[in-house]
Amino acid sequence: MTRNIKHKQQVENPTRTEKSLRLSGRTVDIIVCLALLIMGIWFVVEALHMPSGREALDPGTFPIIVGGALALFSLLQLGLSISARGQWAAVEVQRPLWLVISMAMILAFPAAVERLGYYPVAVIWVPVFGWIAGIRSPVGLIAATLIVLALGKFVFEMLLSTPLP
Amino acid sequence: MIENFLHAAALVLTVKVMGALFFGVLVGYFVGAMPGLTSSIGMALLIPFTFGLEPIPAIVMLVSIYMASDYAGGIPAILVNAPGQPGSAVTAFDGYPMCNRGESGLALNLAIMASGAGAFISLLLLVVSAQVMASSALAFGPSEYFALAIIGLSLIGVLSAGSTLKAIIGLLFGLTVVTIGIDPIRGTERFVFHPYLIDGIPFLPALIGLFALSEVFVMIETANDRIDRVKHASSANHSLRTLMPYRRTVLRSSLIGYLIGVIPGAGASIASLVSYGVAKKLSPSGASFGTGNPEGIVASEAANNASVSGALAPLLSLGIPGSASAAVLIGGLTIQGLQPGPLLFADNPEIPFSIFVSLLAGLPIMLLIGLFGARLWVQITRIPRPIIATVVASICMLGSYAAANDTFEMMVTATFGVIGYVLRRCDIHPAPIVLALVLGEMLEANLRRAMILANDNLLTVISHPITAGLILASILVLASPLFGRKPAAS
Amino acid sequence: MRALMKAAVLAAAAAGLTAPVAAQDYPSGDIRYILHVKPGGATDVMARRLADGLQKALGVNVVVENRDGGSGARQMAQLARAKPDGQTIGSVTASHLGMFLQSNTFDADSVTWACNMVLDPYLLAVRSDSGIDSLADLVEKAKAAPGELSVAGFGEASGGQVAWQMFADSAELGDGDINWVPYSSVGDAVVATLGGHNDIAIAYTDLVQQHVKAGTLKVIGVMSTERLPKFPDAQTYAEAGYPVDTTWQQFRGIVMPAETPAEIQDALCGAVQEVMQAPEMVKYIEDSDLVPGFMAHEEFTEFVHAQDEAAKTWTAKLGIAGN
Repeated sequence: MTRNIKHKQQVENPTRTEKSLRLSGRTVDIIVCLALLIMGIWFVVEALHMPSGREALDPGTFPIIVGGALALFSLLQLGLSISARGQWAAVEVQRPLWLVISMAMILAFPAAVERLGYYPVAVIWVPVFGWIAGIRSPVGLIAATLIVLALGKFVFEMLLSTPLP
Repeated sequence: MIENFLHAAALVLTVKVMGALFFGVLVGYFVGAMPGLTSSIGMALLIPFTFGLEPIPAIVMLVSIYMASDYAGGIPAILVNAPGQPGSAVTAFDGYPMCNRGESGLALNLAIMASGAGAFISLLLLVVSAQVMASSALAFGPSEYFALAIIGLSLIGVLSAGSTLKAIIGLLFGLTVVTIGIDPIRGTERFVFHPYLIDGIPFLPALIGLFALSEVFVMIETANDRIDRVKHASSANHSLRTLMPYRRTVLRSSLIGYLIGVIPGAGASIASLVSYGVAKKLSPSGASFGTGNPEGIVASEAANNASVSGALAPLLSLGIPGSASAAVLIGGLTIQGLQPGPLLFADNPEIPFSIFVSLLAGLPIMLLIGLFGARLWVQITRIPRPIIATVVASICMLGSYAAANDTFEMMVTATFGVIGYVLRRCDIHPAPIVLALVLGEMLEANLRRAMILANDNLLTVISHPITAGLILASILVLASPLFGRKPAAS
Repeated sequence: MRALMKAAVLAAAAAGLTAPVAAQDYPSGDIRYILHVKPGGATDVMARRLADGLQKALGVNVVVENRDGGSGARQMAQLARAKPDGQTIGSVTASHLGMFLQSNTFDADSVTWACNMVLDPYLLAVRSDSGIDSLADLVEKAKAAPGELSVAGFGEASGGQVAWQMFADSAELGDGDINWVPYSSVGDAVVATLGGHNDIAIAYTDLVQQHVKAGTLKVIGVMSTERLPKFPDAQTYAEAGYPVDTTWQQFRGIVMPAETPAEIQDALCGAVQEVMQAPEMVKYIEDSDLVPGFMAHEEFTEFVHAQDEAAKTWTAKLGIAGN
């Protein structure tokens, strides 16, 4: 199995000329911190509506503290990122399109398995995902698919008797 | 004692029992190396097999699964940044960078040797101290667990590689996320926006997402890069002497792992995190932890394997499960009509001693499989990364499905994979998030329990001796960077 | 063929002389047995034993699936999706009742209650060196120093807490006389009590009996009409002068998707009853200190609805949990 794949190594050379996405580190920071800030605020707001009990520490107390702290520190980082000058290491995202498609495929996988069952989905999903991941040789694609199917069958279903959907 | 040992040895060293042991080791290896399948799941799945077995082979089989899976968890952690067991997440911190440098053979061998050494040392500790340790397992009540969580969280400064502020943000993200689910004390639903979230974000799928799946995205992104991961990969035959420079770390980590394992509810994950933190603090090369320092692997693996024996101490002496796997082991014992409890040593001494003997007998088997296996495993680094990415992504999905037989877990893995990737690009690493996921509920639930017990008086809570000691220690850990660059001995 | 015959005979025996067609065909294939607990625990182990026995009795595979999570909500979702043909069955314990209180989606009518297998009475245990000798002693100490004593049990609005409140009510203990400390399992509660972090644990026989034997714990009261054979010295609540409703017990039974025909339920439960009486199962139940308490469909449904009502009344009274 390994040997087959090894021989194909040179053949594989996915689209080398593909563009990469360059973002400034500052932009990435700002986007992520904003998201975390909103998340922290959402938790605090929700927690404020929680019932209070007899004790000093209510169900809402801990979420308010940690959610609040998350918002606070994200805000701090946000402030630092916005105000800071000078050098920002650029964040380079290579193959951005393929990356986004692969994420979408991963997120869609559970729902597909739920509806259509594991094996039919895997037979199609694995080679497509493999192509996106950069496998360009048919042998590689087939090998990857077979490995995945065999793992499902032998390790999960037979050895560990976990029924797959 | 010696009599008991000889008697147990006679019981264990039969063809049938050794067969059970070997089978258990094999299953354990598989389960351990598969992200999503923990030792407790593997043991539970094999429980039906033990119905037809005699007590000794049944118990020996379950114990060897438990032990072997902790050995194997480090293998995928090193090779593809996908920890096979929660406790081996820490192994990935240094193991995966080493693998990327082309030193996967050395990393694997060190992991196996450290595991073996950790298991052996802790086994010795278990044999001499199982009954004494019972009292220390009981010494941990709500306030002590709260303090344990605090000391765990104080490792944040040690675990963060880059910006401390970002590490704190990661930690708080994790702490916030663990409040999702039913409130551990009052039963109120909190942030339950999906009915299955009632039990909170499932830890294992989240862990797989943060480590393995986010790494898959990195692999997809860098599919064009040429990384020479195979440079020294084939040199996977190192003698036991390789471990010698790290003997102090091995000893210390085994002790830490054993002691933390004894505390019920604090298992391999916390053991390896604490041991790693301590090793980083004390090591002269501490600064390079997280970038592929072999000592980091040693500290993690010795500790998480030592915690296995640790968890067996309260089980054998009191019938208290120290970990999820130990709980399954109790199930296995009850099936055999045995009552694990304070009378086990008196009523059925052959059971604890058979467990000791089988742990000892399993050790060389495990080491051999590990050391020879390493030569095979390193070949994985020769496989082109796109293929690895595809297979690992699929295994992540399968593994998280198997964790609860539900596609919901797959969804959690997928979501945390994307979150983990985005946060990584912003230099927020998974380590602090995992720290929070492991300790969050322990922190909150036990503080609130302790407050109820103390009639809402915080002072009473922190004046318990162990609690006070641990909190003081965590303050020292947090404040230590302020003391400047004094020699590490202080 | 022999298996089918056997199943048919069983079905006929259970359902009376006029078993309809549906029951005669039962089971028509493998049975899925969905558990609401993780593998390895006491409920799981017993369910797997039962599955083993049913497999022999019915001649079809009984496949155990663990769908733990959401205090049983996840398993309920699976059952709700399954056809009501008896090919899918589920485990049930008293903890489901707590989930029904908290859930907006499921209640006691979301499934049909096929049969109960065993019961498990609650009891109160203290450390032997705690200085508490009896229930009366406990009540006296609590009233003398309100808030000093604490009782450890599983969760909030759980069967254990309701059981405790029944006692507290009967003993006229006020709110705050004894603090209720919720743990994530009964086992944890026992350990915390063993370690002296709590004074009292509300638990079951099999979780404390080893410690009682070893002399570290002692049972001061049992919530049942008669004393338990394992603890002949422990008074019942009524004997100690605190009468409570002793039907409030932990139970383990079998549920099926709502609208499963009664004949099919009886067919399965006939087999269950047979398995429960097999010598190895009897021994297992004895070893685990459970009380055999087989209840057929109607009796069990009545029992559960009474319990459900009681749970609602008590939690409303206490103002705890629920929506």
